[in-house]
Amino acid sequence: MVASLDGDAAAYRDLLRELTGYLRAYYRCRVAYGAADAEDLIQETLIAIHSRRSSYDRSQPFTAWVYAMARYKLIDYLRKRRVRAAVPLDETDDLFAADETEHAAASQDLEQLLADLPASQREAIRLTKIEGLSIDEAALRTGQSASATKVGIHRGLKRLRLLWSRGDSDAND
Amino acid sequence: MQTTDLIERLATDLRPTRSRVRLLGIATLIGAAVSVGLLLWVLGIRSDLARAIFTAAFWMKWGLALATGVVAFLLCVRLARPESKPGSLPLFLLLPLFAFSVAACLQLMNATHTERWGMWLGHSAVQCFWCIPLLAIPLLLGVLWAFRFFAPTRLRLAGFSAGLLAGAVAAVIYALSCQETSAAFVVTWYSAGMLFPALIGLIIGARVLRW
Repeated sequence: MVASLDGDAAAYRDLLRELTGYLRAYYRCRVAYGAADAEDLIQETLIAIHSRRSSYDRSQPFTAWVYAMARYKLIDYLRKRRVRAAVPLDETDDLFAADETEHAAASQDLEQLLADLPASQREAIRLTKIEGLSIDEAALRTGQSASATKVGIHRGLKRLRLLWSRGDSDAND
Repeated sequence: MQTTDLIERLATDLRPTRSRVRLLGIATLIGAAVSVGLLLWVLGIRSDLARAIFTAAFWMKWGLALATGVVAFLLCVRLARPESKPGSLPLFLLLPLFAFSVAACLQLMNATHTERWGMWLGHSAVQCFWCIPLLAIPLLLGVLWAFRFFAPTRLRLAGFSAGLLAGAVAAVIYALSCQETSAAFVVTWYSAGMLFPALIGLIIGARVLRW
C-alpha cells in the first residue's frame, strides 16, 4: 500500500487483486442476497479505497483500515436495503462460521510488529503467548533457563507496547 | 463491469498521494485566503493593528482561536481515518475555554458594577457573532472539500470538527479587525462565533460527508 501511495501502479494492481479475495470472503458471508450484491459491494469498496486512499495512515495497520472501509460500505448497504437480521435460531451456525480472513490479516500485522524484536524475545513471546505453551515448556524448547525466558517475555512485551504507542502518537500529528 | 476491469482502470488512474495533514492544510489555507479577502472587502483591518499586535487583548483572541483551531485540526486529521476513534482529544477543547473563562471572571470581579455589562457586550457583540460564521463559510467549504479524499465513518463528529476548524480560523482572521479588549467579550462571543459553524457542520455532516 505504501508503494501504491507513492504511485507504483504494478504494486497497486497486485494489492487490489489480493484485496478482492479478502473482500469477497468478507461480504459473501454477510450479505443475504448472494453473489451479485457482494460483487457490487466489492467494487464500491475498491472505488472508495482508491478515491479515499489519502485517509490511510502509513504508520497504522493496513488491514484495520481496509476492514473499516469495508464495514462502512456494508453498513451503508444494509441501511439502504433496510435489511434486518431475521434468521431462525437453529440456522445461526451458518452465520457465525468461517470468517478467518480478518484474523489471518491481523496476524500478518502482528508478525510485522514481532519482527522488530530481538530473536530470543520474539521466540519466547511466540511460544508462550501465541502457541500457548507454559514457561517451562517454552524454556525447554528454546534451551534457555526458565527465568531467562520470563525476562525475555517481559522485556519483549514492554518493547512491543513502546513500539505500538509510538506508532499511535505518530499518527496524531 | 467486471471487478478485474475495474482494478485495471483504478490502477491506471493511480497518482502519488498527498498526506492527510497536507491536504487539510492546503484546503484550510485556501479557505483562509478567501476569508481574509472577504474581511478586507467588507470590514477592513483595524487601523491600529501594528500597535494592537503587542497588546494582551489581541493575543487573548488569537490564543483562544488558535488553541481551538489546533485541536480541531488534529481532530479532523484523526477522524479522516475510517478506523479511528476521537479519544480524549475533544476534552482539550475545554482547556483554553476554561483558562480564558477564569481570566474573564477575574477581570469582571475587578470591574465596577456599571462597567460589567459594557465589558461583556462590548460595542460589537452582534457583529462578532455573525461575522465569524460568515468568514467561516469559505473555510468550511474548503475543509469539506478536503474530506472528499478522506474516509470518515463518524460523520456528525467529523462535520462538527470541520465546522470548528473553519470557525476557529475565521476567528483568527476576524481578530485582525475586532477592537474589543475585555476577556469576557472574547470568551463569550468568540466561542459562540466558533461554535456556530461547528453546529452547522454537525447538522450537515451526516448528509454532506457520506460516501
